[in-house]
Amino acid sequence: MFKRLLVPVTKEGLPEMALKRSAELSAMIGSRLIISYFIDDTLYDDVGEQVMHVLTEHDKEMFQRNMVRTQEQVAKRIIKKNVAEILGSRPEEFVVRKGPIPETILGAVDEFEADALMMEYGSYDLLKYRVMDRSTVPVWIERHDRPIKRIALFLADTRQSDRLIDAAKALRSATNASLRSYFIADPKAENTEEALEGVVSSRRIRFEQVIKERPESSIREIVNENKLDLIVIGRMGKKGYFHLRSGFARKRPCSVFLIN
Amino acid sequence: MDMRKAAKYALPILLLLIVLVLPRPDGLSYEGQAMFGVLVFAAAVFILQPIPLGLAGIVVLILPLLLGATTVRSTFQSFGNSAVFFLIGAFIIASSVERTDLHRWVSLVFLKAMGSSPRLMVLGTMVSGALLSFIMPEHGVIILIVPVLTYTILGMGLVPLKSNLAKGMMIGAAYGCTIGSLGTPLGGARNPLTIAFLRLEGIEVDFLRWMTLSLPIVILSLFAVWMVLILVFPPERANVERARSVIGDELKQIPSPGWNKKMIIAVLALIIAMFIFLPQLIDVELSIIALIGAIMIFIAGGMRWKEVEERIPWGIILLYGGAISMGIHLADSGAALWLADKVILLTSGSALLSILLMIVLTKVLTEFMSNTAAVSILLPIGFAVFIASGLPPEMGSMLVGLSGGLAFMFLFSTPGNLISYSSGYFRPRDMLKAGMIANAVTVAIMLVVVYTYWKWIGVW
Repeated sequence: MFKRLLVPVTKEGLPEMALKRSAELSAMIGSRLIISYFIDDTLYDDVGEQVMHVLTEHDKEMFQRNMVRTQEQVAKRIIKKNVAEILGSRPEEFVVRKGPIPETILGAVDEFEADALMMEYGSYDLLKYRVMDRSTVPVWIERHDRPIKRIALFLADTRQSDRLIDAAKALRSATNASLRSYFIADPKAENTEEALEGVVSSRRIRFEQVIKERPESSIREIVNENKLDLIVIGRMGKKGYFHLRSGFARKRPCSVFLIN
Repeated sequence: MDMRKAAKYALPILLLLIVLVLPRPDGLSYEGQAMFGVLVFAAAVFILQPIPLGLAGIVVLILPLLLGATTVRSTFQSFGNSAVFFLIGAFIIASSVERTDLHRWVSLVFLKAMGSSPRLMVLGTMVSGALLSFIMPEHGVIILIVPVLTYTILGMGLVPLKSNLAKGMMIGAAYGCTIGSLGTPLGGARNPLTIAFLRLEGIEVDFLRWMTLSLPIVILSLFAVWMVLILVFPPERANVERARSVIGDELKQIPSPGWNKKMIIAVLALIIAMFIFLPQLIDVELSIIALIGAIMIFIAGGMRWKEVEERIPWGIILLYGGAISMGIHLADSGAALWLADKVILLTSGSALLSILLMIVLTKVLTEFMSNTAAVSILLPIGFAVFIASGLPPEMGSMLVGLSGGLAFMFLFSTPGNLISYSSGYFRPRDMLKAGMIANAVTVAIMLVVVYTYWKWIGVW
């Protein structure tokens, strides 16, 4: 885990906190850091269609070409330099990829065989969600640039238990942080106790608390009470997952390591 | 075909039929009534756009003929108006600008010169867009300068939809080009359309005369709309040093012009000088100068024929031909004068109300349809209303021609707005907010200029 970290950058702005955290993880565990600038070259297609009575096909193509080329030049001349300033060194791997943003980011995950996507709250919320929904690798959403001292694992779906527990333990050992675990019970499921027992005995893990209702606000309370820096969380059913995600986006209590 | 599309086709035809079957009012000839039918049909087609505007130009051209409101000869004579060739020449001249990097240089020099504060940077984008729109159509300018501005804005790290400075710069670029396009006959197709219409009515407006009438409106509007932008979107504190460094770096990237580029720039300067001074020395039409200019551009290596075929928006040429033909038939059939008599009843012959009515009506119409289309519909009406009000008809047509370019509110109002929006730095509602105020401000400016400067130089 964490052998290759991909930090997506778009015209929405530099994800400064995600870059710093990636650099920190990279220094601690020797991850390969790939910073990729993504240009949405499909953005200008509609423009040509809508004003074709005035613009010729040549004008349309020239405009699209110039807009994409401009962004490429900015990425190579300016963004790369700004990334280097944040990282404190020249990025080892700085690439530019073009295409519809969410799909191209997910494509880059496969291309570079990344283990995690490093993003942050803030400038590109919408993009983040569209990527988060479909990412096959964990997504780290950075909230702050303070050291990670307290981590908590929130397990809801026992089918994900191995992946989540492994990730939480890997993060604990990488950051030397403390780790607490919580179980989010599905109120509709009948065999919650049984499932919980299974995880406890097979993974030898102790859950601090079983959250039975209002998972979103309960998690937030736990985060605030324990001054957590990072939570590791997985699926909670489609609806629950959505509420949790949007709740977190609004309140932003801490960084999140999300495993689909 | 879905219902929506079917309605787009049906509504213009229905409106045409309604006008044709209505009892003909006293004093209006059949030809006049038929031309009113064509007018409402054209307005609906220009707004709804069920067919491409070029095709709409052809329909508007032949419809009066089919309705028996005009003759074959007068139909095609008006389409072959010299102003159509002015437009072709102007498009060829404008296309060569892209080869010179002049647009990048002008935009960046102004941004750098005004880069001492974020507010001035907004003005810089407006002024550079306006200046370039003096020598080429506004939509041609905006597609060239939006990438240049994107470079600067991205380099400064301004966040899309959140940065007021980025909003001001991008909307300012569109508005700058829009306002600047009023400055000379080269700024947009509606300008030569106005000149051509006035010429057919026996009134000469040459390049210098156009500039004499329009420049005060351009200068005052640029500053007033800039104030509107910085009030609506107060720019945040930006890293001015970073901006200057980004702009400086980009300026260094522009290769120093070789012999060929210098030649094209010199020819462009010569063509502008010819446009301004030649009509003062000899009796020559602007279209002849535009065509000579286009030939000069070819000789200087600024354009190849293949590029001309790719770059001339033939749809606009056809729309233009159809529009000018409709304008002439509206005037010749007596429809425009009949309508003007009714308008006079509304304004009680008041000069102020007549002026205000034409400006506001044109601005409303131009927000919802192509500038050229709006101007073509209102030119004969403005001309007739001013005659009926005892005002100089040149003034009526010039006010329609000038206010027809000032579309600020909607993305679809003018291609510049949409192209600027495609950069992703502002929302449609941002443009609507700034555009509503900009519209009110520019109406006031036009009134002030008409009542002071235009009186002073003897327009009326």
